[in-house]
Amino acid sequence: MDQFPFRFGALVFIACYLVLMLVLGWIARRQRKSESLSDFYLAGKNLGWFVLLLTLYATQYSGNTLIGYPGEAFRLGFPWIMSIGFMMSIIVVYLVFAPRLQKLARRHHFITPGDWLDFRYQSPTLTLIANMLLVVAIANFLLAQLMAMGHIVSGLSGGMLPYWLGVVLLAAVIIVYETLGGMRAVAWTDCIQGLMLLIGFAGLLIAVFPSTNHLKEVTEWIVKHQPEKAQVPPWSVLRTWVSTIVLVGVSGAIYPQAIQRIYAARNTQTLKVSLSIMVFMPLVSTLVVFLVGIAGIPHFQGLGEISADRVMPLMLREWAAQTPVMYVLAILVITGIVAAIMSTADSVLLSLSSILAKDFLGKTWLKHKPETDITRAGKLLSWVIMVILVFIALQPRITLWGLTELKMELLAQAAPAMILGVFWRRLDQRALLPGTVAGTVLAVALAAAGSGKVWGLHAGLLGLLLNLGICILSQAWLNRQEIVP
Amino acid sequence: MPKRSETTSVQRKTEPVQYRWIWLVYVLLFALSIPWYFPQSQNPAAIILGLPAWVLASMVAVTCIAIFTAFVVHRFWKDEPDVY
Repeated sequence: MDQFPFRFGALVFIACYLVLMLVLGWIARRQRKSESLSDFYLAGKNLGWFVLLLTLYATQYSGNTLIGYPGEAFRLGFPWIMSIGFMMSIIVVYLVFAPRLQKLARRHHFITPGDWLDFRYQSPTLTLIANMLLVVAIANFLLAQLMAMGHIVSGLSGGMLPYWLGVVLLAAVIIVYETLGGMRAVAWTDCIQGLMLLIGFAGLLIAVFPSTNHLKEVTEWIVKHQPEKAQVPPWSVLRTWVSTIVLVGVSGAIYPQAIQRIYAARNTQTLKVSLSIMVFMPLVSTLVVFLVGIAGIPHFQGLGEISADRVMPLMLREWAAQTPVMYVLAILVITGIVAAIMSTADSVLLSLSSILAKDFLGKTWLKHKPETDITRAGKLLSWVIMVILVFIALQPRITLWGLTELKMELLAQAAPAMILGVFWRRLDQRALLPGTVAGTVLAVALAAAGSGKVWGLHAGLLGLLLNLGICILSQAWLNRQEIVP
Repeated sequence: MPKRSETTSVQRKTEPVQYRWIWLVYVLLFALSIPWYFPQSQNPAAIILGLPAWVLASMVAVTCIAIFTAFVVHRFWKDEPDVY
């Protein structure tokens, strides 16, 4: 990655930002009502619409949105406009199950996604399988965020700050404020991080397209010199487009950290307001990074083949060298990137520790212990998880980087149990189990065999279709057995 | 009494998932956000408002999805006791 002209002022700005996160964690600790699981993991189920909106937003938009998405737009061209639709599809899937799940969560005091599955199916096996899918998927996701922290710090400082320092420093800040204040600290820091992200996006838009005419010039250049990136996409790409909308919509909606935010909403009205604003966020976030990638196509044409992930850092380096105003904008965008990574990592870590503490330890070693003990175990688990994942992130030879690709594929297989059970009253765990197992095996086998996509459709979607097919047929058979004994 | 309230809740629609037409509209809007209906022979694409026409059509469709979702949330998601 090329050198970024980091100066003292920029380092001070980012250092102040990190200190602010720690201060918020400390204030959140002072605001705690008790040491209960609900207070630590769901902020006492009292998040108002503004905090809920920003924490949902900051959690959903990760470092990948700011680094990976411009790269994809640069590589694919205009077909990457699909990213706006697939980010919106997550909110549309929420409409299927969130209204009822939120009421159930309040009435029956759910803390984790596993609590919902236990309540609905009363099958320890199904809950265990679903939890394992969720844990593996989000542990990979957290690892990817830690590695992104290292790459961002080392890349943007031009190697002045080493990769390991980025991983360790940011991980340390996250674990400290999270242990101090739990969900309250995570949600509050997400607010600052969400605002930083929005400011970063606004800065990006101004930097990339200072005038409306500039967009037209960029498009005309692409049509003339790289027409394949502006043409109506071929059918193979259109099939992948459909597949991505379904896979991201279904998987993104059942991220444990997202489910727990539904639980944490103060009431139905706050959730309604937050989701109805969230659905517009891709238009001010994903669209902006899409345009950055598009602007990069003519801009970097002289550089020959460059790695897609370098588009954003290269843009930032150039802006920072132009004028003092652009330098400030670049710093805001960098802080936005750090904020996006941290806000996703903290939420995932909190969710992961809640599942392991409540659904695994709480049902075994800590079965008859008071909630305060489980909360304490959860905090300790957060440190253990963080230390293990930091260690893996620092050892490139044993990274699980390839597995992060499996995140959506695995999550999708838990979706029928999480979503269908909300409104399909007769759905039985005996119908769900074989479908979930078969779908997971197919998705993992296809991905492991290097067939991430078959006929343009993702392995995870094919697994989900098999999963649903088996589930529907099994349920029909069970219904028939009940009618004709 | 619980049975009565359960029946009442089922009859009174309180969630978007209970309206079939809402999901048909979503299918239509998502279908319109994917440019399958633009002939591939139309390449190179016409440029409107600085973007290829099919990109603009996709953006209009996703904007409609966002507006429709906000409408559905406020009009068809009612804050009432549920059936469970």
